[in-house]
Amino acid sequence: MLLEVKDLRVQFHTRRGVVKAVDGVSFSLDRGETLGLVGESGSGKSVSCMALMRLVEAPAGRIVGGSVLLDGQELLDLSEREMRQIRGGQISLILQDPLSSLNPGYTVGNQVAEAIRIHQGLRGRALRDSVVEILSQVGIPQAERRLKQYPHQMSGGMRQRVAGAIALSCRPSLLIADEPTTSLDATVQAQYLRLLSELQQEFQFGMIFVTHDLGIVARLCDRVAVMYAGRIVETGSTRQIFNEPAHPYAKALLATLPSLESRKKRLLTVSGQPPLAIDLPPGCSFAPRCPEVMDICTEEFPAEATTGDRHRVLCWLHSPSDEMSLSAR
Amino acid sequence: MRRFILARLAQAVVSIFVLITVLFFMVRLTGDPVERMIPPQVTEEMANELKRAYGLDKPLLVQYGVFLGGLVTGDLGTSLYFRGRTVGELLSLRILPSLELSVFSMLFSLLIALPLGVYAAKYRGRGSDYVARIFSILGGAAPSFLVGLVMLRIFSVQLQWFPTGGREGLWSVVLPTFTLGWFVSAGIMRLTRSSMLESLYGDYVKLARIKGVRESVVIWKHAFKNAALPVITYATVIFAAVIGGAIVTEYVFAWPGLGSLLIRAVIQRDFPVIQGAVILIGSAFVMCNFLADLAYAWINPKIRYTR
Ligand SMILES: Nc1ncnc2c1ncn2[C@@H]1O[C@H](COP(=O)(O)OP(=O)(O)O)[C@@H](O)[C@H]1O
Ligand code: SF4
Ligand SMILES: [Mg+2]
Repeated sequence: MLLEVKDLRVQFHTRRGVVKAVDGVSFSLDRGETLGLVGESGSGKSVSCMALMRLVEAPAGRIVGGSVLLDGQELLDLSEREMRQIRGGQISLILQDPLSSLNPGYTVGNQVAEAIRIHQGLRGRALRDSVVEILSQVGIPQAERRLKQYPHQMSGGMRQRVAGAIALSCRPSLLIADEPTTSLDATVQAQYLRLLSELQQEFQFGMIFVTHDLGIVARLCDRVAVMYAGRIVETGSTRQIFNEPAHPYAKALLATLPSLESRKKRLLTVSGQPPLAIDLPPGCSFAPRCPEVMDICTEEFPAEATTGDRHRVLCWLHSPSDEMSLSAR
Repeated sequence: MRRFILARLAQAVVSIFVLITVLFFMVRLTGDPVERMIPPQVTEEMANELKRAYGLDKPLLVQYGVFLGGLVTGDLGTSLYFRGRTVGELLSLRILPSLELSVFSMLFSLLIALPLGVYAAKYRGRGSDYVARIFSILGGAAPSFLVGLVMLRIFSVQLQWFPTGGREGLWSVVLPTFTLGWFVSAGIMRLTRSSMLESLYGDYVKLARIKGVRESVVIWKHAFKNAALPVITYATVIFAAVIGGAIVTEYVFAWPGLGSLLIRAVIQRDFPVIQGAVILIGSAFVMCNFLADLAYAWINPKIRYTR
């Protein structure tokens, strides 16, 4: 297993109280595999991603528990110095907005080179060649000429390719993409997704792809994790989740999917408001919006139900003692 | 880039011309200089004589023409108060002390304010942030003359580490530098802090950390370069203001700069000296603005390429 996350917890101490942004997240990922992380905004997707790199904004935010194993190595035990070697080296992340995530004050060449210099120690000619190579690999035409350009001189699609080049420049084993195509228009988005797939084929990195767009999940991802209020309420293969969603929230999400012919964006919208992460209700966080809520749901937090094939769900409809309940439904 | 520079240069020249013109007519609204030059018992005739001698009897527009003509040849006129001394001569004596004080103050304040602002932002809401903010509030709020007098009392009178005034040797510049520099650093520090706060939470800083960049490099290479833009503009403009605006500090420390010359000229309605001093200070101000624009364009590639 490339990545094993167990019971990861992140809290923010704010004036209004403690925000449990990530509250016991567990999942695993293989090399060459893509996990789609979906959920409403505010459900803790970005914080989870940053927490994998141990980049939670101090002093308000803290990783308060759990385990992150990358190739069997516990990342939460590493020193800050060792962790810097992991960041950009073994784990990379592409942020949502390619304009704001590139530094306006430095050339594209400089920004791509920085990661390579830090992690591979290249200098001079070799460094330059390496930068040009990765820029060409992410499909930037005339890469040589682009080195001296500034981010604002490029189109949004090109900028996001540069962000991709930075992320992949040191051949990471894990790539996290946090809604990388949200700000791109449809054609550019499609090209970008194709590029990511091709590069994944070539480099065999594991990928966590955060998105609002279930259409992308269906096309791109092997597995899906559905997040709600800081927890992964259901995870399984894309087929399992799309064909036999077990959690009422996942079902509601999929019900918003229009037919595949429709060109409209398939965005996640479920009626009702997500709970404030500050005072989560006892029991299941989805209970106030759940059409299938039962008495026990508001009293006790649901235990995890698992089937044999990595399909897990947090919901009282699926009793953990009854191993067959998932497949039975 | 060249068009940008030329446009800014033209702007600077126009600003200076407008300044000169407005100034010329404004000082003449302050009253008649001859009243201050002669004892009250002198006859009307003698007063008129004086006016003629200094060309003050001619119509305003003619005076203005004469003044501009002089400017073109570099002649700023003769002082009405220090009889017989040209304005150029008076100014040239004061430029060096003024520059010295302002350069030292500026360096001192940048040296203090930049790191203080950066770390106050980095450790927002924690101890060092409060210390930095108190330092800046005090520097901005405490009147310079008060700070100056307290400094004098402690370090010159009681401890006798520094001279009590005047400009003799390197020691004499320490207290005025501190007084003026502290005042100036308040604004620079606050601006640095708020500007840094903005860029520290920006995505490109996040991305730098994601790349595995060391925190000190994240702060100074990635965050500070962008945060420095408004600070540079502000500091350059402030520098110009400091050259001419150190009046109180110069007064307290008997510093022979432009500020003390200007204040005396204003009191005496010494038009030519006022004009000369303000033109000099104003031109410095405009030039500094011009340089600030250049520096800004140089640091911020967006401006460089879109204009
Ligand atoms: N710096 C922060 N301080 C306080 N709360 C935060 C901070 N960053 C994120 N949060 C909270 O953590 C929760 C999860 O946020 P996020 O991971 O960004 O959601 P998503 O990416 O799923 O939209 C939200 O409730 C958000 O308010
Ligand atoms: S545990 Fe209860 S409230 Fe929560 S999703 Fe399942 S049925 Fe609904
Ligand atoms: Mg997010």
